[in-house]
Amino acid sequence: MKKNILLLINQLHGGGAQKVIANLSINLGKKYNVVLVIYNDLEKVVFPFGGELIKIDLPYSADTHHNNIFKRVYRSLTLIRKLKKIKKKRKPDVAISFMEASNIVNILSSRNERIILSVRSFLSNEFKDHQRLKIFKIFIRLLYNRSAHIIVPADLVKIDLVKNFGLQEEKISVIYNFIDKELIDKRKQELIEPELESILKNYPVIINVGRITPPKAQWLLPHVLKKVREKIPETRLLILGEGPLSNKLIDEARLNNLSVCANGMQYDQDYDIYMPGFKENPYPFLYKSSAFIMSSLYEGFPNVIIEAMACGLPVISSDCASGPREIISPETNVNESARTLEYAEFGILTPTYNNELENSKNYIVSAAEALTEILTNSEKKDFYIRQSLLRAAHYEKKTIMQQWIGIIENNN
Amino acid sequence: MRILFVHTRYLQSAGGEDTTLDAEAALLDAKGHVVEILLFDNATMGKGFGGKIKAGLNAIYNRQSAKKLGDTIKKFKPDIIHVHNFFFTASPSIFYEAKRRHIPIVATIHNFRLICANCLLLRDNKVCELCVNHSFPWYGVKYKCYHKSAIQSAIVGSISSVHKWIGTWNNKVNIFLTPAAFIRSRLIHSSLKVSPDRIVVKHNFTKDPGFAGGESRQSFYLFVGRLSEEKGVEILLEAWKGMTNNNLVIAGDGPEKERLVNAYGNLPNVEFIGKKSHEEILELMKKCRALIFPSIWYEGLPLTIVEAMATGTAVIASRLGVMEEMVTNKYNGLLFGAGDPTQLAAAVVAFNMLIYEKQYSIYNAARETYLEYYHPEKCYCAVMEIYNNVLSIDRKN
Repeated sequence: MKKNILLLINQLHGGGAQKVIANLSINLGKKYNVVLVIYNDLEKVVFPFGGELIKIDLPYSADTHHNNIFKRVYRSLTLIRKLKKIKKKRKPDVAISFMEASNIVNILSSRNERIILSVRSFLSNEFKDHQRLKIFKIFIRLLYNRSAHIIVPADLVKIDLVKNFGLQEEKISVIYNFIDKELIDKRKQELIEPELESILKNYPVIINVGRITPPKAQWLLPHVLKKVREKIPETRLLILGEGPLSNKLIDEARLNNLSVCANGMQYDQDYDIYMPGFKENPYPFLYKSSAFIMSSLYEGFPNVIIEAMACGLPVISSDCASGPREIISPETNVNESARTLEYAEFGILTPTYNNELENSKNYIVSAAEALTEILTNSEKKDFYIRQSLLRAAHYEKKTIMQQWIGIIENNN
Repeated sequence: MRILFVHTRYLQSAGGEDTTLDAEAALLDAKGHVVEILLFDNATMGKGFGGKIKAGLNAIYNRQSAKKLGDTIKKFKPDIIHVHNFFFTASPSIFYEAKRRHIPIVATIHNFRLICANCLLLRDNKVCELCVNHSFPWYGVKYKCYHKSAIQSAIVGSISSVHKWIGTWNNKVNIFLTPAAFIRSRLIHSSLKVSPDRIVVKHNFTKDPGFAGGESRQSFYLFVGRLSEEKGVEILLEAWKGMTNNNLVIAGDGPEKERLVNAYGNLPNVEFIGKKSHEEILELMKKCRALIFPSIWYEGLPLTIVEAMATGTAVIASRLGVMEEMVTNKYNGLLFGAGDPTQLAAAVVAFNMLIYEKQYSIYNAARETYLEYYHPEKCYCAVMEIYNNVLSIDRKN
């Protein structure tokens, strides 16, 4: 008989976690009877989902800032009561919830089904920034060990939960977000602007994809390009994305006498840096570039690295917390970070840029050295292309779904 | 102080540079300085290949202009020379002449001619910066940027290039003035290679036309400017297609007028009123809800925006070049993505919302910006400080 699975999340729009659970509902729906329960923004269902959707209507506003403490408590108690009713009627064998509010409610409404929780972010950081969330910390310590299993998307999240919240290590498993290789392979063939196409065809192009914001530190990249050009003068840099630091990036380029072709400017293949703005489909650009570079100061879990790998690009990334090392050098200690250039198993790690250090040029020098090596040593380049594709397969939909099913089926 | 202005008038319409020169000279005169203006006129370029070469050589170094300046210096005995436009008749020979006679010289750079053959950093109506880092504008020749002619582009390009190579810009001019920080930043990081401390920002100004607050204004939006592609009028009209609540008044003539009137003249809430006098424009500015400035090139320092802010008119402008410097989003106006009618329409809707909520502080802020940066008194102080600095450094040497 098919198992009954209940999935619980606050809403079906907005963030990454919501997108992941929506994808999960589609893929689990092929094997199980899935009901997906939401309780906020009932009218705003954006992500496509699978199975049956149940909406719990709650009193008062979903935006808890508007509610006083009594309203908030009453709202939560109503949610628990209504969820209990649903569980009684639907008899789920497994109830999976995402993110803290839903996780707590999932435990408090449990009958005899297996409870699987999923923590999606680095909680210590999040609680540092939001005082209001501190109450969750107490709940997590008290309740989370009562669940059957906890799923996290990255090793460092697991370490954080064990070290800072006293959760049982053996209960926690890492399951990465998946990429859809089939979809990427299809979309990377789509047509792009002929001008950019010819640049990608005629020159070695280094690519970065991401919003242009302080933590991504793309303003370092013109300096890197300048250094790479000492050896390979025809190299171009392509940055896909928009953001508040675009102007700083352009200024840094000009300081280095590099010309920038920004969004809206007349194309020509003799510019040094191209910033065509946000692209809904970045895959053709990744597919046609020569190397992927990341300069981030910190990350959550950079899916873009895996997407670049799936497009067959050698990846050169700063070794920031968290993510790059887990993806690029999984056999090493995730708590370490690179002090010099590391030619790792699935890509190249560089030190993270640090303003306060004496060797502040360390990132620029090592990133440029790595790129020069990739662009001149075809043996090394081919090796890292193979390794990228190999590593990307690790995050493929099929593999990741098997891990979820393994957790669901495991009755110990 | 005895100040000699040198300027070369353009063949075509009197642009903002002529206006700026007249206003500056009048201001200094009114403050009791002795001002003399030495004007050159650009004649049409010679006919035939030989004529063009001769005109080109003269534009690089014109002996007659140098002599004319020498005579004027002898007669007028200026303390300082302030050059506005030296392209093409005056030519850089005047810098050599001034140096020979030990008169310090400042030059206002109104556009990007020194680093771009067509002086706008614009090619096929899109921003282009290919030549910025090259001491000779090869791409300008390749793409025939000046008057659609490779030869003329090469000649125009070589004027600034020859002088880059022989060091004129670094040795013969004491201080370069730019009317906006944007032009300065563009020149600093370029093949001009003049040290940053010798390029100074000095804003242009306009006489105080009086302030009109938010309460007395009507609901129409205003465009003022030449109806040519680089001013982005078509983007504005495209945005107005879906606009039903507000009227748009377009003041100005230009090469695109006929085509635009044919294409958009039937929009019920758009009115083309042609070229208007300076006073009429100021009156319109005081009545309109906001000025829209959708230019798609970097601009120098558009007097239209200066005048609008002087009347306390908020400005909805492209997020590009100098506009980004003059307009601070949601403070004295709104910014939108250059060349994007959808974003422009959204900005107008957002502006309507502000007015609906009676948030008139945006008009006060526009006026504040004028008083802070573009008021005659501010500009007088700034220019005198620059002159005095140049003179004191010159005396020390």
